Amino acid sequence: MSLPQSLRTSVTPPELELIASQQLIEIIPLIAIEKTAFISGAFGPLQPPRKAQIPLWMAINLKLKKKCHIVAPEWLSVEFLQSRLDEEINEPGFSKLPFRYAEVSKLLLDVQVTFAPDDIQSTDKIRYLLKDLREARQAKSREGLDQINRGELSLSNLCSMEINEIRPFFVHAMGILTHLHRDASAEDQP
Amino acid sequence: MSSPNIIARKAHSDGYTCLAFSADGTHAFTGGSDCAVRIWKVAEGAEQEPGNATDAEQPVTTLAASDDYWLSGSEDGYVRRYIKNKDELHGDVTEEAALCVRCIALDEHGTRLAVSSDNTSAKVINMENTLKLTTLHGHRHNVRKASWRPKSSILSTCASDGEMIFWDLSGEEPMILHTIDGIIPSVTDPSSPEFLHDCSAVWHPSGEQFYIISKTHDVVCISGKDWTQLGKFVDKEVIGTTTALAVSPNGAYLATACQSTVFIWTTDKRQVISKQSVNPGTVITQIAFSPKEHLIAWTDASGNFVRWREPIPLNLPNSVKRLSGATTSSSKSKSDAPQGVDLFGESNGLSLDDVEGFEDLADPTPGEGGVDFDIDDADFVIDDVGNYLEDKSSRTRDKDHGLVKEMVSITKAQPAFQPGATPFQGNKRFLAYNMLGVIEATRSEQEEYNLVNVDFFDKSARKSYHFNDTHKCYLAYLGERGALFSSDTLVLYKPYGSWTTSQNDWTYLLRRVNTKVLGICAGGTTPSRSLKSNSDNDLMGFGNIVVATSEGHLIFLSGTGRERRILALGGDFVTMVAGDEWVMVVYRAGATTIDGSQSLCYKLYHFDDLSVRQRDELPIPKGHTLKWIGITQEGAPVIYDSAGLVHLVAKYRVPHHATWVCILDTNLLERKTGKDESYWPIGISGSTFMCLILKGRQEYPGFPRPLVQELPLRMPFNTPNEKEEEIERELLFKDLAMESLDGNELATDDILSKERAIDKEFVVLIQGACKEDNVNRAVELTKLLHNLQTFDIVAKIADFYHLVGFREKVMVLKRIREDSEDRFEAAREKRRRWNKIDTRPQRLPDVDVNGSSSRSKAFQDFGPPPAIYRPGLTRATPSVEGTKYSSSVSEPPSEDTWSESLSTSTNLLSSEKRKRNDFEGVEIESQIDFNTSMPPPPPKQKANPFARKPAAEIHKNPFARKAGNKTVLQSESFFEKVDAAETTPAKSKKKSNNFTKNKEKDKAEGPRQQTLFGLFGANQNGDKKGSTKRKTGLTPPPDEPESQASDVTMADASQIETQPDGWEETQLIDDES
Repeated sequence: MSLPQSLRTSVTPPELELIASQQLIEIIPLIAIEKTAFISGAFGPLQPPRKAQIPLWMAINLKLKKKCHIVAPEWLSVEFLQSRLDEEINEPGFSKLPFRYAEVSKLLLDVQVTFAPDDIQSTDKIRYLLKDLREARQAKSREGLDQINRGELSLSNLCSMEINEIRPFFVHAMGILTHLHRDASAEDQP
Repeated sequence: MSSPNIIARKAHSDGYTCLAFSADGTHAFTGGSDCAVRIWKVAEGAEQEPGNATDAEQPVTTLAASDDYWLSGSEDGYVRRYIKNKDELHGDVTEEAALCVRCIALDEHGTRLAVSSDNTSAKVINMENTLKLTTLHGHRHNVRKASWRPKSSILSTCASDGEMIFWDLSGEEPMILHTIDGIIPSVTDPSSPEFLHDCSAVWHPSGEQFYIISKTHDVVCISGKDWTQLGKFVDKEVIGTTTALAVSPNGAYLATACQSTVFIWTTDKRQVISKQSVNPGTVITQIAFSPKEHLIAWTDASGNFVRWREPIPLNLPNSVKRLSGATTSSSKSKSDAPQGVDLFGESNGLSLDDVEGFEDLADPTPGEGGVDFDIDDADFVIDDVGNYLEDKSSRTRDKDHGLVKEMVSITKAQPAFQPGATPFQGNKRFLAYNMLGVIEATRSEQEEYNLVNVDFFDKSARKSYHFNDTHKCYLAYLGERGALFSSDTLVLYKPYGSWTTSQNDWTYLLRRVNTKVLGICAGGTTPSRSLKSNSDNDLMGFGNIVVATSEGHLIFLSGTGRERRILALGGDFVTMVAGDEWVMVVYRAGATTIDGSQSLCYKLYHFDDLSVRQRDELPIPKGHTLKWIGITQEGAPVIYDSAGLVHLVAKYRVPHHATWVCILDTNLLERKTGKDESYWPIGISGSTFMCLILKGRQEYPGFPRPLVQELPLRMPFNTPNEKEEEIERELLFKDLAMESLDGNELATDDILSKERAIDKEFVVLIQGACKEDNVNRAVELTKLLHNLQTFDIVAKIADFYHLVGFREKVMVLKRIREDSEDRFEAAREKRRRWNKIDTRPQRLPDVDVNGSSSRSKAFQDFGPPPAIYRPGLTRATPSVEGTKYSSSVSEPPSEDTWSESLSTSTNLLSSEKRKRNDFEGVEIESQIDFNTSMPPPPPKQKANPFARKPAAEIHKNPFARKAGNKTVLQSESFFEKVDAAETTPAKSKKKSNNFTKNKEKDKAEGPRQQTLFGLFGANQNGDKKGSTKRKTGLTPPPDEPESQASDVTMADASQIETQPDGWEETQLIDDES
């Protein structure tokens, strides 16, 4: 993320990706594995051609070894993203997207490019759409700056990566606002 | 004249009439008993004046015509030749010395004439040189009819004794080709009415078969090749004798005359398509099709000549395959050899034009002018006889195939198929698609081989591979242990694990001609580990192979290609699928039904012993077909039909107890609402239905290979309670898992966890029922619980809802469950019982007739029990006091014997007591008394001292005679003893032991015995003994009759002892016993 070093006080995008890789995703395994216990829980069994839900990190790992097909999430499709983008442009609020859509889509698309591009159709189009979405949403969050106040900030439908982006500045700004407000009230009282 | 198409005219006087058409069809000749031949112009109506040829001096019996002349045969023995279409006599062809000419027949070229007369020999005359003639000797009776087989030099002649001879006249000397006896009737008297009936073989223009009127008055069709009967022309309307018949020039129709009615049949389907009756009451003697026109003509015994135009219904091709009314006589001028017209005396032969005309319709490209006959022949065979082949292939009987054929065509029988196969789409197709993987075939560009690609879903277990298949296998099966391929006759098996080399591959060839492989499958147990590692130490082998052939056989092969057995299926094979230990074969036992049912059945063969474990119908609705057959991951067979229902075979391991369970109706799927899609099943795994989804009207999945979709199974219950449906479904799968347990297994972890899960669901349901105050439902559900702990939870729920009554019921149920047998063991027991094979009925050893016959027939011996034979009774009774006691004496023993056997328990009791007495009694008599609570001391005391003495002498004597009272008593006791010894020695061992002891030891035992007997006697019959006591007057205290009774017996013993006189007698008795 294009944040200056000074603002990088919170978690970094790679860290967010790491968190996102704990999410479950559906795969079609190409190998059979018994139910296996990991620190984060027990997953499996993998019985081709049955689908299975495993953590994203494991799916990516298997994918890199060509031992599974990843079933693209429903939202990672051209139609879905296009409809969300239209909504984003035409509606004032943020459209509803999965909380960690940015991380998950990046992880999946990165795997897709290097390895089997067959799991997700028209990856290029999806990339464009994701970029458009991100820009549209970034613009909205910037617009939201003038509505900032010291008390609260409504972040409905904002996603983790975007929150992470605005967090350092917003937190700082809100701190200043709070400070100003307190000063004002202190002046008023006497 | 019932219709304008009928032209009838009286032509001759009553009697036999004959008929012939000229070769061009413009003229018809009729001859009759008025010795004249009339020449009719076919085109003209009834009012025409026919030409007359009246040269014959006797009735004209037969006519024939060729291109250049016509011939008549008469009873005066002359065959006369006339100039074409005229009544001018040309000359005599031959003369039979005053014998009636019965039949003349020209061959198709008009060069040879067969003449039969009232003579045992027929003649064949060369028409170019009538002096050249061949005489055919062979018949033993008069030859009645002769006819030529088209396109050959074979002449068939029929004699009046019913013998038919087929002569080969191609060589110099006539040769008898074949003789058929007993088909045609034997008619020897020329004056009998049957003699008017036609008996000649009427050849089909193709020469492949002929039609003839049989003895049973049916028209039968007989093959010209192997002389076998091909079928009959039967219709319920045709009643009575068929008198004449003719085949249409194109061979498509057969006209038969049944008395005065003419029926037109199709020769291929043997159905009546038309009928006509003109002059009722007369007998049609000859019938003929016009060689050129759509017209049929006949003459009858009343001398009528009838022409019927357009006898064939308009929706069918006409008899000459050419539009009627073609009045052409032009095309006769062909340069070919002259065409014989009269082939068999009544039916007119083909001229070249006919064949051409026929070909015009049969084949869109019209034949050229000079088509030669062989080609026509070939067409003919294809067109006409081809129908027979088709019929045979659809397995309808030739005989009545008309009807059956109809039914077959209404419900099309489903052809054999391999589950998971698709037809070629472009140049690719799926050969197999199941839970293991996919076999795809790709046609090469030159179509010289197929590229077969075997791809597995689980890449870790089996290695995917591909190869070039030069056999172009179109059947394949992906088994657990190997992939099986097959072309028409070649079967190729590629076991897994041998992917580096093909050393384990083998082929199997069907050597029988005309046998095809219809289906293949390979079964085997799921490998425990990866087959990629080439493990030689896998003991499971390569599974089992089954090949279904078009002969209706199932060939069982071992995994290494060893032929094991050929089983006959008994129906049309449709498809099959193999599990680990069985193969399920779907077949059609009979034909499809007229209302749309495919009538498919299945058999489940076990691989080990090749026994049929299940046999049932498939639950496919009418009007639908079987789409897919497979196995669940757990091993149960499943089917999917075109109605969209999935059925599963439950209890398939219990022989002949399997049931079909509907587990999914894809029409009710949520995802299907509002969509036009269908499903292409692959397998069932747990509670999910694995399938490919086909959009729209798509019938097969295409390429690239679509993703396998998972749909949840849902039994199509009508009550919309998902929870209950789920529980029942889980129970079904749990039961399936239980069934597949091995002999000794009680349960698996999987089953246990399933049960726990189901119990949890039950608890939720019970809670719901409690909430609704539906205690009955709650109790019902509680009964279904698996684990004991769950009962406690349910009890808590009952507490929570303050349902005290329910709680009590739960606790009762729990107690019952605790007490009852472990349910796993019970289930195992049940499984074993189901699968237990009854031992063969054992032949019992023969009865020894001499000995023990009474014993062997234990329940057949209605005679009196052996006690009755006992002489001891009779001897003991004759006491002096006899009369009084005799009754009492006689009764007790019999009762004794019976009661003994019945009341063993009491015996045991008494015997135990005896034992005790044995130990104690010897020493202390008084104690014995005490034990038995015997009141009368004096007699005992007396008895005891006495008893001892005789005890030394072992045997005691009944002194019945001397001391009357005592004897009676005595007798009783003896009876008992004797009974014991005689009837039931085994049972009364203890008794007898006691006896011997008594004898050996003491009289002190006497009292002890008293007690024993007393008890015993008391059990038996207190009253009697009471009475005896009274009689004996042995100080009977009325209070204690029983004790007295015992007293009596004891006294008996003691008294016996006391009185040495009767000594010997008792001995005797003992001996006897």
